[in-house]
Amino acid sequence: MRNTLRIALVGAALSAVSFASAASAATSATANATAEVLSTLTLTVDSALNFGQIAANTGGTVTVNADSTVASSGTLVSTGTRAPAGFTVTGTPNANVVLTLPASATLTRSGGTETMGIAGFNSNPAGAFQIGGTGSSTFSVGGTLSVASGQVAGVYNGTFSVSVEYQ
Amino acid sequence: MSLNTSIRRIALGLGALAATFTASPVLAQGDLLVAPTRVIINGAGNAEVVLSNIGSQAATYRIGVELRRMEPDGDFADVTEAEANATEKAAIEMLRYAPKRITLLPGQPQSIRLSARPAPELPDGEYRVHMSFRAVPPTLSPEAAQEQVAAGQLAIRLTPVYGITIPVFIRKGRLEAGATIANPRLGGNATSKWLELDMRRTGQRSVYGELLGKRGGEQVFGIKGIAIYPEVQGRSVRVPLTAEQAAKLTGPIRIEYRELPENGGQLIAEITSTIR
Repeated sequence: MRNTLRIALVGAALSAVSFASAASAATSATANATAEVLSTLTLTVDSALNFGQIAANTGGTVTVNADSTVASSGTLVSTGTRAPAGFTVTGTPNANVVLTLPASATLTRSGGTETMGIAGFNSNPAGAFQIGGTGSSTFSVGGTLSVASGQVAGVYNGTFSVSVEYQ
Repeated sequence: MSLNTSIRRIALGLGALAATFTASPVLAQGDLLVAPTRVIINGAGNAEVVLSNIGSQAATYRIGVELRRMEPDGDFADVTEAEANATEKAAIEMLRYAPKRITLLPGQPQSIRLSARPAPELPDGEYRVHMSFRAVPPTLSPEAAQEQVAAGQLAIRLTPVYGITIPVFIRKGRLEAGATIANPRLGGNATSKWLELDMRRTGQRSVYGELLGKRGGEQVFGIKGIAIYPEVQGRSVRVPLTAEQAAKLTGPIRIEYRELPENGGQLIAEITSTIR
């Protein structure tokens, strides 16, 4: 019985509808339901971190910052759409949320051992921020990709961890 | 293998400028919802957390525990297993949870069961881990990877492994805590304004609540979910202000630090001050 109620309430939380008095006592004088509306936090990804097209000569770096500014160094040519990753976080309005980003990430060539590194992960807003009054906020994540001189062609796979937490 | 690589390297060298490296971003699946967002277990006990797939495709999630330390500005720093101190190691050891990996259909929720059994010889105190819920990126089919290589390009597949972490507190013994607020001051730059203040914590456990700013009877700002964890004696808090809010912060302002309304709303600390 208690489990059923809890699941029902989580279902309500999922659709952002809270019904604190789900169990009506109309037909029973002894009905005594305690309702627990749980606070929730959701995270969805809107767009991927995109470094665009890179034509490498002797290597260099491509930076895509969270605030959408881009830069490159070295002799590589960087063109095309370059954009930070975008996320939406939904939770309690005006609640403080902390973002955690990795220090670096490594991309490894499929079927090989060659790597490329991404460092300087940054977010906008940075560090901690407040969820808006509507209960939803977006944030973006960028970083700097280092391409080595004579970087071997192939598919480079990698992951980077992003997590959010209510403080 | 080595022949293959050298051929490609030469080809790349010849066509250096012509070799266009295509970045092919892969959107990760695994949007998620977690509830509740804080778990407190007093002594030995159990708790339950619900994870739900709110994406449009089936996804696999991994559940784990991580260690974090609060910094003086309220941000978190990751702590690796090697860096963990005795309290953090004890926190990891006393918490059991299952399952550790779940595949969920879109819209499907599942409970994760937590249980804490602090060893009797452990000193009283607050033990904390951060439980993480992360989508496992789908594995690429070998054909998909091969296709890109055959085209002679360099493709970047950077997959965000994104997730939610929640603090799990295990409190052993009777723990007290309090807090104070000091030195509220205005700050800002060309684009934004904020109120900054220093908070201090006393006692053997963390404090958690909301900060409210009031002028007369009117609430000027409110920020929920401000914690001070035991590893720091204090921290600064920055409250972003709209121009309208900043204009209202004249004369004596009362700043209150209260438990969240759902936890009783009890006053933890307060200060009344003219803010400059």
